[in-house]
Amino acid sequence: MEVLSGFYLWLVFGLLFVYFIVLSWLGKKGAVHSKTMEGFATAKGKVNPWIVGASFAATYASANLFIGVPGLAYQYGTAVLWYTLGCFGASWIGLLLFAKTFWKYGQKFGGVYTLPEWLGKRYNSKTLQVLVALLILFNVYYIVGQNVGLATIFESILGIPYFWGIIIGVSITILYIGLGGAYAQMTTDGIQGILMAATSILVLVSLFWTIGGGFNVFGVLSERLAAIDPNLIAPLSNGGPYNSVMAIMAVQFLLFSFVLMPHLLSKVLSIKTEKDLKPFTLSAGITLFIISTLMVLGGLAARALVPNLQNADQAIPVYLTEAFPPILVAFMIVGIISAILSSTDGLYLGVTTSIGNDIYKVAAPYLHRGKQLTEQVIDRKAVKVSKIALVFVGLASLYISFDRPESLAVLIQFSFSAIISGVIAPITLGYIWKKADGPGAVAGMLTGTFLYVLFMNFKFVENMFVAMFISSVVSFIVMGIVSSITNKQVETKVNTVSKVS
Amino acid sequence: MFLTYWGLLGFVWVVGIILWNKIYSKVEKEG
Repeated sequence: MEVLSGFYLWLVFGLLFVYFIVLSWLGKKGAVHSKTMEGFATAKGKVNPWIVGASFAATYASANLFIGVPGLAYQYGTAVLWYTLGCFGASWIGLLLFAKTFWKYGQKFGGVYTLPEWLGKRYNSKTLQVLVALLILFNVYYIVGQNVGLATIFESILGIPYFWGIIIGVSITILYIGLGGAYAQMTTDGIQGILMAATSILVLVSLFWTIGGGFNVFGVLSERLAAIDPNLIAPLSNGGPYNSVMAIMAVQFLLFSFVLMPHLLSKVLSIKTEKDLKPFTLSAGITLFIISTLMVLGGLAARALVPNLQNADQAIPVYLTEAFPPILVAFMIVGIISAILSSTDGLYLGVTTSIGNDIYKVAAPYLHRGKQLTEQVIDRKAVKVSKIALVFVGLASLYISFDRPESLAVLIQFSFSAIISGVIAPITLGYIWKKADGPGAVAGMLTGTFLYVLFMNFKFVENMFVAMFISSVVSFIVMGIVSSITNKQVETKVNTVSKVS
Repeated sequence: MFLTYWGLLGFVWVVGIILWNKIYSKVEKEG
């Protein structure tokens, strides 16, 4: 289905061309800052904290929020609003509570560039650092979700075949991240965030003419949805991921802990002074509010306007063409593509810096045994490894993307739930419990991840959010028990040694 | 459901701003 043609189609191509030139230029500008791992992974202190905050929100909001979640709203109705409520509410409160302590620990440990490194230093455990870096590879599925979102937009609006849509998206992102690292990622996110916010606000405003009813626009929308199916306006959906109170609670828990995702926490590490945390967290809150709570309304309105779409993920592209003149649609499409690219670049950066910083750097003393390499040389090599990994991760995501998933949102939510199940206990207990130690953290991380994968693979627990919640709770318990036992053993050893001496 | 949605979003703003002010207004002296 191609919804733009002639002049407007060329306008979108033109805008995208200019947009990609600007991205690549910023990438080249960022190359100055990305020669060391600190510059490549965090660009610490190089970007204004207000822009870092907007970048946090832009990275947070991806194809999931701009296409997948409106698609779910199209399918299941207003129950999906619980999800977007949590995207702003639970996640922003989570950021406010976690950011300061996380940043302070990062300063205390000195030179922390990634979440695995933060955990490795907190628990003095290289094993944990490498395991969490491996766990982050789950993000490849998150990237696949973004590729699929991009290809869906290209396909449904521009008529570009799915296959080529993915190839174009992957190539562009790899190019500018490979060149400019975190600096390019955050500055481009600033621009992308503005486009995303404008698109979201326009979708909200458009309800006044697509649905009508003046100030009672939401009342009219409810009536029209109820006329199609009364379940569409129920607080709990009939089927789907938001079908029980337990599922809704688990979703809020997931979104509260979502800020622990490595590609988001790295933004906190790029803040240089404690004073800058204040504008950073406020800017993240404002941008997150605008870009995460409004697009979903487009999915609901699409159901009222075009109730018989074959693929729910097409709800937003179709709604835009119903609601706006083609010239505006052209600009908004670039806004949606921004949403996708701004997350994809953050995800690539998170995965590849983990490979360079947390796997290669840890393995370097064994790999270059016998050679006396200085820290600077290893650091430069790690940046090179990260950039090479970028190409391989891109190719892997490309390969997996060719097999189109049934639901984009479900694929994305599966990947981040797996990561959170593994890292939530080590991070949280690392903050609040002095006795939390390395063996406990490793045990907790492995338990959370394996349980989640087990639940999902063998369908022991049908709802993925509930699966994540249970895995996380068990992970906390296991970590608590193992840490207590290993702490006791250490105490006994110390007592025995002091008695002997 | 929409009323609940907007109401809860407003509530989050109030709680968030209070928390933000409480946590991020205090800056320890560096060094």
